[in-house]
Amino acid sequence: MSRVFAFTLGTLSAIGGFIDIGDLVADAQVGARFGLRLGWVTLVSVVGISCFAEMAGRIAVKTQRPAFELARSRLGARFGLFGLVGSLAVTALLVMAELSGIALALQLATDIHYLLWVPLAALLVLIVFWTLPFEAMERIYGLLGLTMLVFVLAVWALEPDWSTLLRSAATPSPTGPESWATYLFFVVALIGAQMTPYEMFFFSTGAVESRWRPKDLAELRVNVLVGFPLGGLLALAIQAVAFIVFFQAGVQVEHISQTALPVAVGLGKVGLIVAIVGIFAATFGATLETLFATGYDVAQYFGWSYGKVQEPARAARFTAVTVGLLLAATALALTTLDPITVTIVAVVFSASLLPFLFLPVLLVANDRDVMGELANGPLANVLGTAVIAITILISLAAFPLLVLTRGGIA
Amino acid sequence: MLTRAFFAALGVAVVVAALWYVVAPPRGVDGYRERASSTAEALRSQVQTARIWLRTVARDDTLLTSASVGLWEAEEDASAVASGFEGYDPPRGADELRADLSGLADETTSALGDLRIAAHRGDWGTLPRLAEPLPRLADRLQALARRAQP
Repeated sequence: MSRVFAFTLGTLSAIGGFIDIGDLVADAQVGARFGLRLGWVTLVSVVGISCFAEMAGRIAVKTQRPAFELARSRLGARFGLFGLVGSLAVTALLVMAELSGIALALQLATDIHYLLWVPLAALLVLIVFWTLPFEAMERIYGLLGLTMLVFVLAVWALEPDWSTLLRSAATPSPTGPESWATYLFFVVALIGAQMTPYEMFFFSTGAVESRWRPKDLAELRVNVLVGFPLGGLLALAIQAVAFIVFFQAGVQVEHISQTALPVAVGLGKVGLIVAIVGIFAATFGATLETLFATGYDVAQYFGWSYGKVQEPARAARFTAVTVGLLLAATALALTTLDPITVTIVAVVFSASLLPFLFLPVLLVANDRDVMGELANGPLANVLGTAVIAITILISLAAFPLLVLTRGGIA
Repeated sequence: MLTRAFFAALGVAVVVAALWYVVAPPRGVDGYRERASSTAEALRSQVQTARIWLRTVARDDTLLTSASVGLWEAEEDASAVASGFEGYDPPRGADELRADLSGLADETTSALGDLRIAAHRGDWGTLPRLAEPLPRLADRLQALARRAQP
């Protein structure tokens, strides 16, 4: 029974990791402007993140060390520092955006300005971080995150013309008024939103913290192969409801409130309440994940002790980095910087970092001296190489497209 | 050492040029018309968003707190996009377009402002009357967006 429960929790964590503020914003924007014409990007993202999360988890299970710690020891300190600084910058922006996401969910429920909620949201995150054990955190936000399935129900409730949805999904090109540059910009934004590196950091170190062993490999794989595709299904549902409600009306999505609005149209007040709870849970979980991922990343680079299985005082520098980042993100959010704009910029830069973070994982997972019988097979190598090739193209195109389309406006 | 400094300077120059391009005002008549068209589309988007929120209010399908937030955001975004456009100097030959769009933008922000005030006061019963101009405003903004396209 406990194994079943552990599996459920891991699966829910994977869903929570996939759907964060980046997805909530980017999916709704894409659905409103392109319908399901970028649905294929979500499929690519699910395959990509599943492939690399499985590899990172397998490395952790085999070596009892997080994937990135090993990768850095192989590729050298300078490469490691580049990855660390890049991912730190992106993840710090994402912490600010996720924290604002919690506050925006509370604003929707109360009509009190989100900036007033930001310090309280940060305090709540700090209390949870300080007091709750790792598994309890997973359980709470994982189970609450399941409420995001309301977006899937809303697709049915809105009674769409299914042939229109299918036709849209089968047309991988821009809609009439949109340019190819804008279409490709949103390809980059979706990849960046859905294949966030912190998901992998978190999954890998989480496997070490949970003391998973090779006998747990099947559980790990089921978590990946069920959790991330479910996250992808939620992402497609958000795109679909935005398409159904906003596309014909010419609505451009710029707020979390607009992400939730189609659920109110389809399922009424109760649906909206459930959606707000889901948004709260998804952003709360993602705030914790991004904080932990950053703390893990810095601590592992400098060789400090880290982790939630220890008392905060026993991993003082890890705790200091994590709490410091939370305070910095709170201060940044209070500058009134638009969290949605920050999210879009962060996910685009996140997309451009992906090859630098994926390549070391592929190299270590393919090393038979380290991995022994758990080294990559042909399928993992082919998929991993294909994903890296795609992320290299994305990385090269990200900044020019961001500029050319003025952040997707043009 | 010199090469490294050169590439660092080049990198900074590219980033600065890119940022300038992103925030630069429109250049020439075509650029101005394009910006006018996208401004009209953005204003229409806010009007349409407000209409959808109002529909959910009328059917008792939403939390009033959420609808209030949605209406406030619609007005705030409409004001921001309108003032952004009005900050651009129109090139010769585009004064009429500027006047048309500014007039429509004023009507839009005023209508959305009335809705926001009524929602914050809890005067939900007055919303249907206040929303009456919205469908026509949306049509006029769409027509202007099409007409402005270069």
